[in-house]
Amino acid sequence: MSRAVRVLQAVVAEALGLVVDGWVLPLGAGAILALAWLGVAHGGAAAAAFGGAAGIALWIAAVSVVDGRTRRRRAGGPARRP
Amino acid sequence: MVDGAVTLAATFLASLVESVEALTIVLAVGLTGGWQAAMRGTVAALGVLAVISALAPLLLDRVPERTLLGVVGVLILLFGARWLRKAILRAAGVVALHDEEAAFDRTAAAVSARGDWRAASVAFNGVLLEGVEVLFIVVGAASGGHQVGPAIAGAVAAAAVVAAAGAILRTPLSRVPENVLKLGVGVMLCSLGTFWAVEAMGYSWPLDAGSVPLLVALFAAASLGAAGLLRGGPGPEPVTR
Repeated sequence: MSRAVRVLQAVVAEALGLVVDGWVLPLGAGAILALAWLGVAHGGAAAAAFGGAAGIALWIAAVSVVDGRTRRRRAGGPARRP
Repeated sequence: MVDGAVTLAATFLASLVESVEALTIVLAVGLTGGWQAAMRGTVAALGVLAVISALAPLLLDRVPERTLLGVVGVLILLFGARWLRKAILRAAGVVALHDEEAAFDRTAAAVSARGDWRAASVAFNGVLLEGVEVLFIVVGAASGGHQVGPAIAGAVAAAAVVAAAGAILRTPLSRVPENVLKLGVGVMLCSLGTFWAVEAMGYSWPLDAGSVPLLVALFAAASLGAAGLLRGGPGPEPVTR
């Protein structure tokens, strides 16, 4: 991997790590709920309801994983398990 | 029936965690700054909480039921999501487990450095802060699921259990597996919040409240999966609350 790609990756990860701590979690959950609302209103209500619930659960899990890896990297360790 | 049991369990567990935190602060103030100051601060905080509790239903009665269900659902969901994220990070060892003994020592040191009336204010702030969190969960659970009785019963039972344990032990309740509770409560709050928010959109869940256990399984699986993905690597960061 080139140095430029590694630097870009670090910058993006840092930015993600900073925002996940504040607004990303509630905004993402809100956006998924809004999509579920659209789904319920325009037919396919069951898929929208269960899809929305699964989406929120996965969103919380994904944000937590990104947050955890960012904290590890900041603490000086490897982001991923060796 | 299922809805009532879930509401009772959610408010009991959430209140248990918050009550342990409040008791830790009161014990630290009592043992270092004197029991009179600790009791003064605690009673004053309980008085303010009683006034807020009395006003909350009056405000809630003026809001249309479906709007209330939606707002409460979203708030409970966001509250639960925050708990769940922290619990996942703690379960994975990324963030240190919240140590009640460390919290006790910090509060005791702060009280020792201050005067008598300031000791009372430490107890007041601690009990009020944790109490408002419990109140928020109880009001949300009660109004969202029309389960006022189980919601209040859960919170009162938790407070009684913790108060009795505190009176007997007179030490911080550091053995309560707080993170397990927080993970469980986060899962329950997210499930109930999603259930009510989607119901407010006009969707009737299949099996009605029987769908809640399905949502609980969904959130639990995603959270444990995330903790499993994160587990390993270097040690925890210092406690951040």
